[in-house]
Amino acid sequence: MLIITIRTVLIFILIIFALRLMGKKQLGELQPSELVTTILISNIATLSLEDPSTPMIMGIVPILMIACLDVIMSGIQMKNTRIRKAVSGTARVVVSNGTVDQKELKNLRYTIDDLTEAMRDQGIFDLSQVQYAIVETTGKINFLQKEEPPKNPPEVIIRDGEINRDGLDRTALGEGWVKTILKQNKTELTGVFIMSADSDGNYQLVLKEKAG
Amino acid sequence: MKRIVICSIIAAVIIAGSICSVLYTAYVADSVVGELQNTKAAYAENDTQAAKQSLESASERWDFFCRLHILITDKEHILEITQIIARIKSMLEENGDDLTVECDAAAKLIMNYKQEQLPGILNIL
Repeated sequence: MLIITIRTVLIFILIIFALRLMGKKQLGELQPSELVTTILISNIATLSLEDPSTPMIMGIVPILMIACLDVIMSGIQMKNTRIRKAVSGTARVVVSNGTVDQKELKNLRYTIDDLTEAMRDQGIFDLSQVQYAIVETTGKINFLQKEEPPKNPPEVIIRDGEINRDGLDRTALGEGWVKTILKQNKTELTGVFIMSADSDGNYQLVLKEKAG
Repeated sequence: MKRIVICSIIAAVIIAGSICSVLYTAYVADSVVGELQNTKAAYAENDTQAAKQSLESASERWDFFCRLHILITDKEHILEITQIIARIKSMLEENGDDLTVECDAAAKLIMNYKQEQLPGILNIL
């Protein structure tokens, strides 16, 4: 009994340490990999507590490895958009200009009931009031309501020095326009941290901070 | 960046520790099996004193390994081997039955345990 008690305290401290190591994101909305990480850690911790004959190191090692892999994976995702896409996915537009993209909803395995429930969660009771709806990588749906006059939400055009083709196509501005803006701001594609623009050509440009 | 560095170091330490643990287990297994073979050979030549010394050395190494609780992943397997070695000891003390079979059995079990610890595809899956 004493061994289980001591193990419980140690595992508890270890999990707090592991969650702190992984950062505050674990406490908020979770990406798929983060959800897997949290579930795995809690299950492994239980195994160590349930069986006193199993060396505690058999629980400590997997918990620490999972926490470290999560942090290392996050670091890799920050540097590589392809891996980020593969691991976390991308946000998907399911309502565009008031029209529901049923194919996209089907791909995401969301029913119209899921969509309307998410709408009601955000205080929207009329689908015709929705200009845009985007399903985030965490599964949450965010809505932009129609205003008078209706506004086009800005799209991310450049992300981490790479052009976001989907966003650029939705604004119909074209690569030529992007190159002109970059030239006006005396910068290159690789120097851009994020650039967003709407279809009217209103843009916002944030350059990468210089390392040091 | 600091977090990534810390995590990379922790992961590297864990991997290095795991590799060392496998290497040490393999070393212990090989040395204990070697001593058991020496015991068998000495017994075959009727050199009881040499057989007892080799067996004592094997037993000490194995007991030390068993005390390293964190390296043990299969307690039943370990217990079986410990019991066989104890049995061989008493057989030698009493100058009784042929202990060749027991030595071979213990050696086989130890090598099986060593194989189980190796990071082979069949062990992982």
